[in-house]
Amino acid sequence: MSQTSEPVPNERFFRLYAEHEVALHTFVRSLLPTREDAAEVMQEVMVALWRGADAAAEFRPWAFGVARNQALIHLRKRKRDRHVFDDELVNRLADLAVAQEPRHLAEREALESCLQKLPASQRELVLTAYTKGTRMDDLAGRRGQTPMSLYKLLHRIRQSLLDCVERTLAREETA
Amino acid sequence: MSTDWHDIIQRHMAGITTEEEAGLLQDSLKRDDAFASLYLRYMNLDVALEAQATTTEATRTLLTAPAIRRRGFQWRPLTTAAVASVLLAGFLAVLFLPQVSAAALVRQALKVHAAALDRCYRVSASEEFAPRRQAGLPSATREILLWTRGDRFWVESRVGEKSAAWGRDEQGRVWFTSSPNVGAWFEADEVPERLAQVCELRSLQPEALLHTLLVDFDLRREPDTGGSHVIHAELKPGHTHTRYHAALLEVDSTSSVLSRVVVHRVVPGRSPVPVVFTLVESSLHDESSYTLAGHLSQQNEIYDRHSAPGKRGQALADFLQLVLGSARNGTSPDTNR
Repeated sequence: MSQTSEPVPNERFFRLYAEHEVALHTFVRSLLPTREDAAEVMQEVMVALWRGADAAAEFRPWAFGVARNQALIHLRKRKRDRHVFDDELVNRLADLAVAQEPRHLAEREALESCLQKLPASQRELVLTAYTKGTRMDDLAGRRGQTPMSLYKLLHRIRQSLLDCVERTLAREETA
Repeated sequence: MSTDWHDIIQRHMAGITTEEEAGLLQDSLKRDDAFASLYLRYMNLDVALEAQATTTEATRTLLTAPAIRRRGFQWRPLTTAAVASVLLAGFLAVLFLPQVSAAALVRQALKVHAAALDRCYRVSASEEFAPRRQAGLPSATREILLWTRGDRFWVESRVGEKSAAWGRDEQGRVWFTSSPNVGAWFEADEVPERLAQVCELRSLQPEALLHTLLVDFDLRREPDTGGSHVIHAELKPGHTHTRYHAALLEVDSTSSVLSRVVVHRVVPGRSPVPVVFTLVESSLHDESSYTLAGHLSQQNEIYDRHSAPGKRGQALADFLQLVLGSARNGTSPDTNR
């Protein structure tokens, strides 16, 4: 059976959403204090995009605008938290994040090869630390470390990944 | 206080900055473009690592999952955002690698169907399972729509002006209703055979099905001719399966969604029964539609094993009458195991 299926309503939306989701997630994450906040706001963003998709002339700028608004709504609920940025800074970061998205995309692509260059134990550690549900104090305990020493080790791994990504992109630009 | 900008950013990401550090971070982000760019790069790294970890965890789960799971199969719940992050990586890979294997396409569809989105399929079961036809009665115009989200589902069956709904929750309990005022449910260990058969034949749990196909079936891809990838699944030599004999999948080439599925169900004592699921729409619905309460009015009665004798059986008989057009046989469906 090889007959082509009829185009399915709404699949266009999900395709557009899938194409832009990581960029939107990075954008939202940069405006919010924690990954959990970002995940929560992304759910709101998806629902808001879904509801308004038909009226949007151009998906990408509109979607980033929706994401910015949803992040601001979320931040206003947590206004007294010292980790929460004020509206002025959020808007500044939002503008920068949109402008730098092509660079961020290239960095995400380079990250995969940089992860493979890490020693296996460090790669396993950083991916475990980022796995949903992992608690840093539990992970530190399992490794016989204090939470602070684990934090410092992750700090070094992240910094080395950023350095590797930068070197990779610099090589590509000069090639 | 530390003046290491990398450290301050990472302490902010971990939510452990002091008040003074938080103030310094905000001031610096406002006035220093280079610092703001470094901050955004860390955030980008944070999201990318989270997506990478989710992909790795999902792969590990898939590789270590038992070969066959019955009702209990549960894909690890993922947040919409995390799922969508996973989705994109594979999505782009599939888009730009036209000759990927059938198994890779199925794995990609598995990731897509793990997202917390609703998909509606029109269900066409074999005429062999239309008791009204078997009894020589004219068949009523019947439309069956299946809604899925991950491995949850509910089914709506419409006959003329009447409609019935049923579903199975994450604990394996089966609920049903054929009236806004009356509903009932059975625990996983007490589902009557006829109700179990209705649920089994007319439902689809995309994640469980795709997982099963990856483990126990040989997958073969047809040459692409249109907007879908067509994949045939046949049991591996020497393998048997309690639910599926064979399957045919049509996977949308842009979204990786199952646009059409033909499942040949195993039915004891009969030849495999083909059931066709055709995608009607994708959307976002209220969570309550996957529950019995979401299909009942405010004033309702819900029967369970503790209800007065016969109440639940009567509700089931009314439900089966509507869904199957079956004549009541005088046997209490409560005991028809």
